[in-house]
Amino acid sequence: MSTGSAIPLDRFGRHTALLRTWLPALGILTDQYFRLQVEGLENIPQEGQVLFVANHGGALPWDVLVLLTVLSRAFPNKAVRPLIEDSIVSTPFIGMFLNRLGCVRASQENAMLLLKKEPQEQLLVAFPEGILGSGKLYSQKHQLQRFGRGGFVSLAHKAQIPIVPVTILGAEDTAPLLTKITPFFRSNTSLPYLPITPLFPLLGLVGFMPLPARWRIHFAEPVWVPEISTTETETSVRQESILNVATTVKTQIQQQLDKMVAARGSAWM
Amino acid sequence: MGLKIHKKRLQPPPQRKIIAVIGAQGSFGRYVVDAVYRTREFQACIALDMQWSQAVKDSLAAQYGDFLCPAECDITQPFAVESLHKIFAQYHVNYVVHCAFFSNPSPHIDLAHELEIIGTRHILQATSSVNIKKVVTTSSVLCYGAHLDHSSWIEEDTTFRPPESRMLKDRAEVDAMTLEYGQGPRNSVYVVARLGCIVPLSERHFLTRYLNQPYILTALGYDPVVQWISPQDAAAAVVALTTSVQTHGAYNIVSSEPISLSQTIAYLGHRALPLPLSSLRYAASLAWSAQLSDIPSGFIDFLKYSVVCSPEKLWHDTEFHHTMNVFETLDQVKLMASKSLHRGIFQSREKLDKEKNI
Repeated sequence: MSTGSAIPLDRFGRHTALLRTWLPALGILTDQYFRLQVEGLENIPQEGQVLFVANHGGALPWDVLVLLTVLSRAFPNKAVRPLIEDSIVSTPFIGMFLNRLGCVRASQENAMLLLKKEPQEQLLVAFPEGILGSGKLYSQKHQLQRFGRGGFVSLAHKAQIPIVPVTILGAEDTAPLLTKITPFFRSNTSLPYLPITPLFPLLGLVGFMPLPARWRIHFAEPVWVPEISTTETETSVRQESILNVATTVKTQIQQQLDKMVAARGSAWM
Repeated sequence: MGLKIHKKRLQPPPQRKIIAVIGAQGSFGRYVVDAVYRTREFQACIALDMQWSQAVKDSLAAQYGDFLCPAECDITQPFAVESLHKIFAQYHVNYVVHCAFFSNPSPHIDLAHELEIIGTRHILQATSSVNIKKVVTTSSVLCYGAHLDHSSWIEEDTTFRPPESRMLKDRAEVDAMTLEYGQGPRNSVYVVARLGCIVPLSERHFLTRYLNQPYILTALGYDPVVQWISPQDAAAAVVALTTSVQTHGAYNIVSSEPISLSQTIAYLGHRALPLPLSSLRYAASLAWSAQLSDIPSGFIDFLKYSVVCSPEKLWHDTEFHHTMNVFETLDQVKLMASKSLHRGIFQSREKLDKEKNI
């Protein structure tokens, strides 16, 4: 009766077999539907663990899924772990599905656990804009929001891993957020707001269909965090150094995004 | 040669290891007694409970022979400290495992509080005044609560945030009380065993009943990760905490193999009945108030978020190894439905000896 100890889940809820099953379908979505073009894959270090830092946008986390697909296909022997914000984790169906594919709730503690305790090499993906990124309206598209307090820099410094800045173009066009209804939703549901997109809630659940925008992803050269003082007396200096690195990475992504927007032309054709 | 004899004379006589299991007749206590017997590390086991019928005593005598000695004590009574003290001294008890708790959430809040809080306080007081080496109290990992902001791998230093349930709040208090006792200048070592989701503990246990329904209620859109552990493994882990020299503080006793609730349901051959979380909570609250269900509405949170705990401290400090994988554990749930398991766990001493010889 017993099937042995072949548990498909790891301790973070990742279902390896499910990811393998979904990967071909996700590949069709990214290659055929989104006509994705990837640049700079050669910049990613082949050995060791890496922290990818990407911009975030769109009413639904399609960027998480697309980046997960690209990295899982490029590095089949490593575990891709997008770190997702609380609002996505607690969204019914979406949070559960992304967790099974490898996503983990974004926190320093979880990231360190992944890097230190998991036997497989990890590719962490952070979206420092968090809910500010996914909650930005279509009118604010291609404008990076605040990059938190530089938590990703502290993480890379603590774990001694490189940061690879990733620029994603297409997420905001695929799931454009026209407006959002915040009252009632924040207090009565696990959702921070009700997204209003061109198709949702007009077409019901069909409204969650992604629009066929053209996607581009660019991986920049890795950034190593310089030595930062860890003494308590130099907290302000330390915080400043962290914020400096975070700002550099953000500026780099914003500049790359502007270039890509100009080069792409129409989002649809 | 002469020198050797002299050395031998100087050595103190080896101390007999006698263990007292409090709540030995309870769902989990019975497994602990069995695990104590199987370890062969103790010379005798004092099985303490409120009362023992002659039939049960006879049956235990047939199963464990003179290894097991049933004793009676109501730990909720004001004279419990003296009674326990007397029993510990009489039998030269030096290890105590406390598992006298309700296994199901009880609507009789006062009675549960008396047993869990007052009873534990009496036990701790009694153990501090006699020569007890180690006291192991059982608690629950459910006391951590199901929260979005929990770490994906909960370690023992995580703060308790139990859901709205008197049982878990009491259990958290017992946990804190034991750890606090351990910090004082005492001779005994105080350990807390935080038990995970044990299945199948008994036919009437709420988790067994939940998993044995043809249609299992789940929260629509959520699929938490669970760590089912067999009662045999959980009891063996508690005994390992007792016998190991290194142990102190709290320990998570959970399975090393997390599995999702949907996988569990599929493996058991049942069907999930997903309902919106708000309806589920409302229905659970209503059923609890009408005493139609013994699962408080606060437990519904466990259908939304995972509580995945780390058993690494247990592995590090003891030689405990899981003997059953999660599928073997779930097989026992299926077996429990046919009521065959209960007859199987208390095997006779002769039968065990025979097995070991083979």
